[in-house]
Amino acid sequence: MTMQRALDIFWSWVIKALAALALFALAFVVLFIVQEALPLFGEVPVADFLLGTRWMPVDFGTGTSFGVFNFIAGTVAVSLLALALAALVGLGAAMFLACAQSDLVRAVSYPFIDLLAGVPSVVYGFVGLLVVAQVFMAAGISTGLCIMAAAIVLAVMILPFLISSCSESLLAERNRFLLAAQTLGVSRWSAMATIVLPAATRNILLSLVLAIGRAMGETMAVMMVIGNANVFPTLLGKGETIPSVIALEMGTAVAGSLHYHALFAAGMVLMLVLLAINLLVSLLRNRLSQEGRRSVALGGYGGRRAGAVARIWAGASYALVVVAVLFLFGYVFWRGAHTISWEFLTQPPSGLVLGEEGGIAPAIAGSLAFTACAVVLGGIPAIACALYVSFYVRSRRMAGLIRLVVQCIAGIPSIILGLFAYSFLVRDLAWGRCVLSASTALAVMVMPFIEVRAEKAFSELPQAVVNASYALGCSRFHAIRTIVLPACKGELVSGVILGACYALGATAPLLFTGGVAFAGMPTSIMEPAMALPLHLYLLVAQGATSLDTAFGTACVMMALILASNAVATAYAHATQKDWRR
Amino acid sequence: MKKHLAIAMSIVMLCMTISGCASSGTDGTADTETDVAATAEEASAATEDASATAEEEFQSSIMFCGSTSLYPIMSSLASSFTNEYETWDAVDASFPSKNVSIYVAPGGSGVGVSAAVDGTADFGMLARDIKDGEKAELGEGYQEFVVARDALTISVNANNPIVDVMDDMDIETIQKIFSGEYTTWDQVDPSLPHETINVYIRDLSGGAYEVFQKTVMGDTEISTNATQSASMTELATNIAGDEWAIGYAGYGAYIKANADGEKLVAMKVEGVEANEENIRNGSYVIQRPVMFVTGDEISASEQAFIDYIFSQVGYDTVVENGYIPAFTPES
Repeated sequence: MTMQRALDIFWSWVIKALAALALFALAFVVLFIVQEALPLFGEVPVADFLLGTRWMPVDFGTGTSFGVFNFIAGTVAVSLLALALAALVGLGAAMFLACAQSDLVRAVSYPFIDLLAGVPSVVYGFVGLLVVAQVFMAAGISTGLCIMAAAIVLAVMILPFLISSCSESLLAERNRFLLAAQTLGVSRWSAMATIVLPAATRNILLSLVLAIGRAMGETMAVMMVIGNANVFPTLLGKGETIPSVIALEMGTAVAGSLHYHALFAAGMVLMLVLLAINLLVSLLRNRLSQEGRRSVALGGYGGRRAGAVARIWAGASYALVVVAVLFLFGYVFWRGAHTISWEFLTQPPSGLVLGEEGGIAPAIAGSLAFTACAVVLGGIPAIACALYVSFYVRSRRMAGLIRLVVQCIAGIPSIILGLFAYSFLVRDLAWGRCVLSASTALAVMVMPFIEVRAEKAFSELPQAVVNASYALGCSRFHAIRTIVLPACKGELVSGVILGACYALGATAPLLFTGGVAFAGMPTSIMEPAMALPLHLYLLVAQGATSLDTAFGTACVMMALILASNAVATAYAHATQKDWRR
Repeated sequence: MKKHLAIAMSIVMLCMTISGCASSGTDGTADTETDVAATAEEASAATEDASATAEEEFQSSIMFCGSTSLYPIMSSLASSFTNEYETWDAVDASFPSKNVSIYVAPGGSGVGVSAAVDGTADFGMLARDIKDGEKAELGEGYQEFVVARDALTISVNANNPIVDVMDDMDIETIQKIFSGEYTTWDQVDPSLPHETINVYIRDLSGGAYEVFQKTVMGDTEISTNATQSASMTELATNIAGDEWAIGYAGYGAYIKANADGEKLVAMKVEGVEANEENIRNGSYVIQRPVMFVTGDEISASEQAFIDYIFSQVGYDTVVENGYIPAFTPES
């Protein structure tokens, strides 16, 4: 056996091991959560837990009870409402994009709308608190915090996912039908409304179901705007979601107490619901592609008038989305720009009331440390997993299973990952509150994100090139090392940078694992550190006196995200190889 | 070939770094191998080399965790301490020259005790009295350091017409309002308009929730319609923004909210006004200590920082953050 062959086998095993690691992460997290949740049901019957409305986890003399019905109702209510709003606007914007004449409009719009996806959840909560809640307060609701406000904020958050997946399906259907419809004399918009839209209905419904999964797992933004009261949700009343209750009460719960197990149980309920949704979508998708092409009933939704209505609706939705993006970035930069200075970026916070003087340098450095660690811990298994699925896997069923597992990992709410990291890493393994604990949670969060992008990059490589290298006698790993990776370098790096952005904005996993209110510049991964989103959240909690610093922090975060997005997109573009030459 | 060797070496070094760091726990006295220290990007907090085994283990990093009322004060003190003495030998010549690292994590009084008990923090910060069960869990080495006193004011918005009608509330009225028995202001006093009472409270992990329950509510539960706020300042801001609000804003938050003009008005409780004198002498009943506790032995470096907290700087910081210091500064 030559050295070359031995190395080849070694590296192949490394890739397979890392891919397996990524997949076991899901199994491990799920099992851990279930294991910590089950002791509750020894004391509290399942029916009481799911249907009870009294949640008093600590005994103040009136006894304890654990009923999460209102929380489940709150989660479902906010998510459904947000989905309705997002669907209304998102579908219109997707139609506009799919129907747009030129590729240029699409090429510019997609990254622009994707900026919304990059904005951290805590910034959404922040702006929601200052803008949306104020609007409701002016309308007469006390404090302005209500289900409706949370639904609006959540709707803006799921818009980018909805728009990109819906416009993809609409575009595919458009390419199939539009030309034929136009030759038959149907006008463009009429065709969109009566032919393309009905044809894409099934795929759109699938996208909506996936989006609801994302909406249900959202923690920070919703927590800041929903009011947090254990009551049955009404449109203009307060409510509470499962992620909120976990985030608010996790630290209080004494480890091993019934309260602790109850929080895990609530998290388990949420996680199981989301896993079920993902499984459902996956099954439906398989069922769909098997059914093949079906004929579409013409004149589906409306007729001649439909075209005009569709046009107005699409145009208005698109405009609304653009305004939303511009407003979000503009508002934060306008209010925060004057706080930014060289001192702000390089000095630690100081002052008798912390945060009023000095800057946020340790938070910036801390965030970078968390992100770098998370990307290394999560990116390597992610790319290995993508390599395995693209080049090593033998059966399609295995590939499908792996994709399902990755999608399920993506569906785990970030607060549950934080819960897992706190319980397992900080306490059981005694790593303590440190960058490593938090980064592990972030790594699990980021892994599916990078894996999906890496897989897409590898699939765009023409199979002919890889096959030719095999035919010439290259071993698989040699082909990967010398052909695949250099060719896909741009997309991979871009995916990793975007994954880093995603990790940068995450707050929930940091809350109890490694983020602190004050620390010096980070010097070790076994020590805790400050982080930008956590710093922002704490400043908001501190109230009006720290608002300027809060805006400055939000500004820095948004600027970092804009810059990374720009770098990632530009790099991917620059290194894109045109294989058709 | 060279590339493979390089990659293999870097993986080995990475593993050694992680294992080297992992053996140190939270007190930063990792015993690192010198060649790893040279290549690792993130140097462990210990810059010592093998000769450190001659010294005793010195704790160069201190971790506080807990109350959202105390963490701003602690953070500020940690920041000024770190700025003033960058390394421990500047604090005291007998200490080794290691970087000062003080960490302050928020989370609530409940988190603070949990962290102190399970050892994930050196000190737990509380804004309430410690329970007997918790004291037992912390063990024989239990020590508490009371930094400040805080009171819970029963505050209403300054624009609420109730301020012209009464300035005193008895415990029973307060109970009825917070439990939801009174739902509109005219039930409190017939001259007030028929507007819904909006109650604001702290969340369960806050010490304030428990203090209020014990000193005012007794066996009555607080209404589930009350809005929970994640911190005292948020609570005060909420009351200031809502004309028909009432809530138990902390004394410090109350003072801060009124810094630029009167936004909140605090009711007297059973005839006792919420002011510094009444809080100090204990006649204002709804009050709580703001303190940090530990069950472990206090190391030399921790003692140095504690002395700093109870000095004039600490006194000024507590006052500036709106609390009433529970100590007189040692000179």
